[in-house]
Formats: sequence, structure tokens, C-alpha cells
Amino acid sequence: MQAGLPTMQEVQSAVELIRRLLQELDRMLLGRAELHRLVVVALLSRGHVLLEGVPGVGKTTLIKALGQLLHLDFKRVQFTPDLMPSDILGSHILQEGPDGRRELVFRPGPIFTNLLLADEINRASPKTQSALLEAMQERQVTLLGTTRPLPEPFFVLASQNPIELEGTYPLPEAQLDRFLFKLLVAQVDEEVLEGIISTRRRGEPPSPTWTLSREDLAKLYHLMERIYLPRMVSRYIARLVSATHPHNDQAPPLVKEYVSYGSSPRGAIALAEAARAHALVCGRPTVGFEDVRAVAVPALQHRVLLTYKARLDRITPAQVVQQVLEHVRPVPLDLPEDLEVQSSGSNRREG
Amino acid sequence: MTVHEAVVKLKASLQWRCALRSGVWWAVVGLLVWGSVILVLRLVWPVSWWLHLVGGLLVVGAAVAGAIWALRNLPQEAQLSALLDAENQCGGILMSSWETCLDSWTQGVEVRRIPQVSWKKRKALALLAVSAVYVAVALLVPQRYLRPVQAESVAAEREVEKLEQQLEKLRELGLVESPRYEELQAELQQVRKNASAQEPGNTQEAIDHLEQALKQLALDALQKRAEERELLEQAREFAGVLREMMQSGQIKPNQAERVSQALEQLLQEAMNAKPGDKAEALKKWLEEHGNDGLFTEKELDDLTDLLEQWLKEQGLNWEDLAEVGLIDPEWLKRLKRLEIDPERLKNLRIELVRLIEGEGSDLDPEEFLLLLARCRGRCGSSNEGDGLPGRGGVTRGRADAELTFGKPSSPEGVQFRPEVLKPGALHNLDTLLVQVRKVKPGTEQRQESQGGALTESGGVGEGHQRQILPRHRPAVRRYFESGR
Repeated sequence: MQAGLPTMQEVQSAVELIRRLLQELDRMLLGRAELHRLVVVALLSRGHVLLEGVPGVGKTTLIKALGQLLHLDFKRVQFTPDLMPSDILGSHILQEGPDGRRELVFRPGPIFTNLLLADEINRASPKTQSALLEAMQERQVTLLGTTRPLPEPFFVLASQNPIELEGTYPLPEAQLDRFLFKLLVAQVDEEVLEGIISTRRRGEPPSPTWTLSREDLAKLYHLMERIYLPRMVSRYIARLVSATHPHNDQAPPLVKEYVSYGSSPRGAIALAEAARAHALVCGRPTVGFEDVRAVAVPALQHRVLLTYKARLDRITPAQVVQQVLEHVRPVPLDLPEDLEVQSSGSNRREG
Repeated sequence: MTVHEAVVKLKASLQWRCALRSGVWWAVVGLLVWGSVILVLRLVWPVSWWLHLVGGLLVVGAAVAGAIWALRNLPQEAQLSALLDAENQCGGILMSSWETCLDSWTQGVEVRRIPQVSWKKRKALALLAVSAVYVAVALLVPQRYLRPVQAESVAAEREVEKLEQQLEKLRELGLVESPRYEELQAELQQVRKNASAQEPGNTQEAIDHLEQALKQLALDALQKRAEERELLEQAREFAGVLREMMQSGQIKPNQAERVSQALEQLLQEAMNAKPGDKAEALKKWLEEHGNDGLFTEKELDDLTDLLEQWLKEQGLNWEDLAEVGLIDPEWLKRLKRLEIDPERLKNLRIELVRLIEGEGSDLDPEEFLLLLARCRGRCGSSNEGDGLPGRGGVTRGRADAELTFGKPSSPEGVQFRPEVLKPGALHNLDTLLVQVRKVKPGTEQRQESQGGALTESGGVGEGHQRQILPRHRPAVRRYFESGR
């Protein structure tokens, strides 16, 4: 057996931890099981998450709950147009020492934490948004020539409001690309609302009854490194990402018509990493095609740049990615057209 | 079913379908190529039909090659395992087991669903049937429908065949000598061979030349036969007239002797004109009976019979020549009339009697024959001659064309239309003022008028210059433009 491949017991214990984590999250926030699952997948992938939704749907609450469950340091920054980079990264202040000497001392900003909630990130100026670039990608901060590493683990969970766009600054593509997932937080249905009203009188989620220790989180990260990605799956991911480019031969019609730029290689890496995490969540040591399909939309939808025509025709990036998934076959057999490989359980055909 | 078993099963299912499909398609291509090769071979280079069957090996070879090619291009086993993984939703366990050792993870993993491989064979089989029919048709179509492909040629075959027929007829009738016949035959073959469409004018020219040569041969033979016959008829009539005059005592012995000598010379001329068996017989007869220079009545009887027989044999079936188009049907009518025209013979007889009784009585035989030849032109039944070329008559040639005086022809383009010129300047009635323009006064010499050309006159030493044209210029222009 390959040394790196996790054993069945290791995976089972990891799945148990994840199950309990999800169970706690589902208990604290009602009616968001799928969202919780994807957030956990993003956490296991060490990726940042951009939550998009109207106010009051529980974005901030979710992030707070996550911080409590993970026993991680948690800080929240409310992004406003007058927010400066130093307000996030920290600044040097002149301080007098015990010996009477004055010197510049670095005072860390709120970014020096494990879990950063960047609330309404699109309200900050591009200058401030760009201050997060280095931190999100390289997990370090450089000020006045001095580079300081961020605490491990480091997650940015940002939220943005899709309406009230007046006075906002849409996130630049470079920063969007640094988010592993972009998750759309939709409205909950009536039953969930009823449950929220009856059990959350002041809107505060209940306290967690179980938390994930740092050691357990480290174990999960360690296990993530050993999830096996088969060659055919990595090829499938590569073909999926290539198909998001309008000039690619495999691109579906929607891509060719509405996409101006496809996903970057960073998107392919993110998709592979997220698929690994999804496999672990599902209790498998190997990544399958279904893992890729499960995380493809949140991992790719913010990396696909649509044309203005798409806005006019009300085509969303999620629709585009969904068509890419339908168009690209997991296993291309390169058979002639008159030879069909027909699924015995479904109507899927390969030819 | 384990992963390996499932992959082997799926692969086997793919293998034979791919091989069969590829073999059928390649066989279709092979059959089409085979059929086309058969058609081309039968068109350009007809060979035995069983040789075409060798092409069947090509089809078999193509089918086998196609099957082998398909087997070599089958999807890899890793791809098949991935397909099985996706089909059974095993989350990568199956395909990973093909790449790495999963040990305990694969225990208990079963492949329950294997994708079905199907081949939509209707189109391929229909094409296979069509191509087989194509080969069968290419093999079985009669050769007569497959004309050998030749270079594009002028359709000279019919003309050459007609000329060959004419030449054969001339040979059959003995109207062409052997060397000339072979020469013409060779020329005909050359025309047939060189009848290319690149120079159709040359081919037609050669055909026309040969046609004229054959007609000239027939015409020469026609004239020669007519002359021979005329000589013989003349000699026969001559002998008859002499015998009758001797019987009636109208001729004196000395006259009879000179006339007999003239007759003998006429016979010599006829023999020289037509050598042969009859000529030899006549020569022998003359040696026996013509030594004394005077023919008796009995000898003249015998001579008449002899000439009569010769004339009978002299007859030529002119219709054969007319049938093959060597002589004009009009000539044929005239020839027949010439043979049986009693009026002409009667005239000849009258002329002979006149000749013998008149001028011929005092002439030597050669002069007598010259007079006899002159009387040939007078012995025709009419002024039309006998209608043969070279035989005279007023109806031949352009002179016999009828002069008709119907409506007068249009003078347009032929003659000038009279035009009354307007009164012009007194100093130059033949010119027309075209333009007057201001010029710098010069001292050049006055230019002379150059007929109808543009001329300049006046203006020398003056402040203006006049450009003038001949007044009749529009009339001249109309004349030349009407010709276009």
C-alpha cells in the first residue's frame, strides 16, 4: 500500500469529526446544510470563501459560528469606503521605551488572526481591497520592508451584498480569483423561517455543544494531503477548466457566446483541492468525478468573466459552469460516432 | 464482479464491435476502390474478368487491416476503469485501483453495472451492400457499354469507311492499279490513325483530298471507257457502212481500199486504247485478213460481229460506282443514254456516208481519220453533247446558267446616293467651314488641300483661323459606314 494513502480508520475518524462539525453547524444555523458542507470543504482546502447574499440571511452568523466551533481566533472587519489598508494590516506607531528611547513599533491589524470576517468587502476602496491580495495568497503581510507571516490556519470569509451596488467597488478579478469558493447565500424556506422564529428569539445562534480542537483540525489537514487524485480525474479537471475558455474547441455554446475570459490555472488547482476535500467529507481516500462535479460551480463561477451580452440575456456564471459540466464528458473514449457506450442505469451515452 | 473482470469484459465488448465496425467500413472503402478499378481497367485496358476477382483479396485485406487498426486504437484500460468508476459512482476507487494499490479500500467494492456498447450498424451495412452491388455491376456490365477510352478524336470513322468502300469498289471493277490502290489504302489508314481532335482541319482536308482522288479515278475510268466504247462503236459503224456501200456498189474499189486502210488504223487505235484478250483476238484477225489492205464483205461481217462482242463485254456496271458515291447519279443517266442512243449512231452513220462519198474519197487514211474525228463532235443527238465532262455542249459550264431579271437589287452600300450640295463659299466650293478660332498671326506658307483629309486654309497672316472639311465628307463617311 502506498505510504501516503490514508487508512480506512483514519478516514472514518475524519469523517466522524466532519460529521459532528456539520451537525453542530446545522444545529446552530438552520436550513443551510449544503452551504455548511461547502464551507467545511473550503476550510479543509484551506481556501477563502466569498459569501454573497442579501443582508440578514446569516452570512456573518455562519462565520461567527464557524469560529466558535473551530476554536480559532476570530476577527471581524466591517469594510467601508474610508477603510485604509493600515486599518486591516496594521501600522507602525512611535512608542517610547522604558529607557526613554522612541522607536517605531508595529501594531498588528485585524488580519493577524485565524478567521477573518471581511464583512461587505465590496464597500472598501480598491486600494484597501488590494491590501488583502498578499495576505490571501501568500498568507503573509509585508510592511515597510518587513514580512510577517499570518497565523496558521488563516481564512478569509468575506461577504458581499449583491444589491445596493451604489457606492460599492466590485472586487477586482485578481482578488476574486483568490477565493476558493463563491457561495450564494439564498433565502430560506418558510419551514426554516418558522424554526428560526421559534428557536432564535433574538437571532443569536445557540452556543456550540462541541468544538473541533486545533489538533483535530491539523489531523484533518494532514489527511487532506494524502487524498489521492487519479490521473483521469485530474485530466477531467483540466478539460473542464479549458472548456471555460471561449476559444477552446471543447467549449460549450454558452461559453462561446457569453464568456470573455475563462478560469485561470489557479481555478483548476482550487477545483482539484476542493474535490479532494469533498472526497474526504464523503469518506473516500480517492477523488471521483462526482466530487469534481459537486464543487465545480462554487469553485469556478466567480472565475468566469461574462460579457455584457450575458448580463442582458440574464445568463449567470453558474449556468455557464453547469453547461460546461454537462458538455465535458468525464471519460473521453474517442470512439467513432456510430459506437455508443450506453449507461446501463441511465441514458448517459458516450460516443 | 471485480474491477479487472469488469474491465476485461467491457474491453472485450468494445473489441469485437470496434473490429467489426472498422472492418466493415474498410471493406466498404475496399469494395468501392475495387469496383472503380474494375471499371477503369475495363474501360482502358480490357482484361479477362477472372483477373478482376483478384481485387477481392484487396477487400479482405482492407477489412482485416481495418479490424487490426481498430484493435490497436482501443481505449486504454485506465480509461475503461474510469468509465466503470463513473458508471458505478465509486468515487475514484476503481480508477485509482488501476493506478495505485488501494489494498483494503478495494475489498468489498463490486462492479455492478457495466456500460453497454452498441454499434449503429444500419448505415454501415447499407453502404456495404451498396458497394457490393457496385462491384457486381462493374463486373457484370457488358463490355459493349464500356467503350475503350481513347483520346478525343474527330468522328472521321464513317468517312474513312465510306472511302475504303469506294476504293474496294474501284479495285473490284479494275479501275485502279495495284500500286495506286495500296498507296490510297495506306493513306486511308493514316487518316484513320491521325484523326485527332487537336487538328480537325487537317483530318478533314485529308479526307477531302482522298475523296477527290477516288472520284478522279472513277472519272478517269469513266472517260476512258467512254472513249474506248466510242472508238469501238465508230469502228463497228464504220465497218457496217463500208459493207453496205460495197454491197450497193456506192463505193469505188480505190475508195474502198483507202477507207479500209482508215478502218484498219481505227481498229489499231481501238486496240491500243484497250489492250486485252479481245484486242489480241482482233489483232490476230487483222494479221490474217488485213494484209491486202481491202476488206471483203464477208470479212467486214466477221469484223462487225467481233466488234459487237467486244462492245458487249465493254459494258461497265456504272450503277456500282453510283451506289458507293463515286459518280454523280446524273452522270449515270447520261451514260445509259449514251450507250443506247440510236439517234447518235444514226447520225454517225450519216456522217460516215458523207465522209466516204464526199471528202473522204480523195484523202489518205490518216487525213480520213482526222476528218472522222472531227465528225465525232457533230454526231451527237443534240446540241447538249453527251453531258460528260470534256464532251462539249452549250449546257455545260457557267454559260448555261439562266439569266433572270427580277426585282432590281438594292443600291444600298453599292452606289452613291445622289446628293445635291448646298451652295458654298465661292472661293472653295468643295470645302465646308467647320471651325473658326483665334490664332496668333503667322507667316507660314499656305497648305495645299490633301483630298478628303483635314485641311487648313486661310488664317495665314490673319487674326483667326478657319478649319474646313470637304463638303462631301458626310457622304463618304456614310458610304464606308454602310459597309459595316
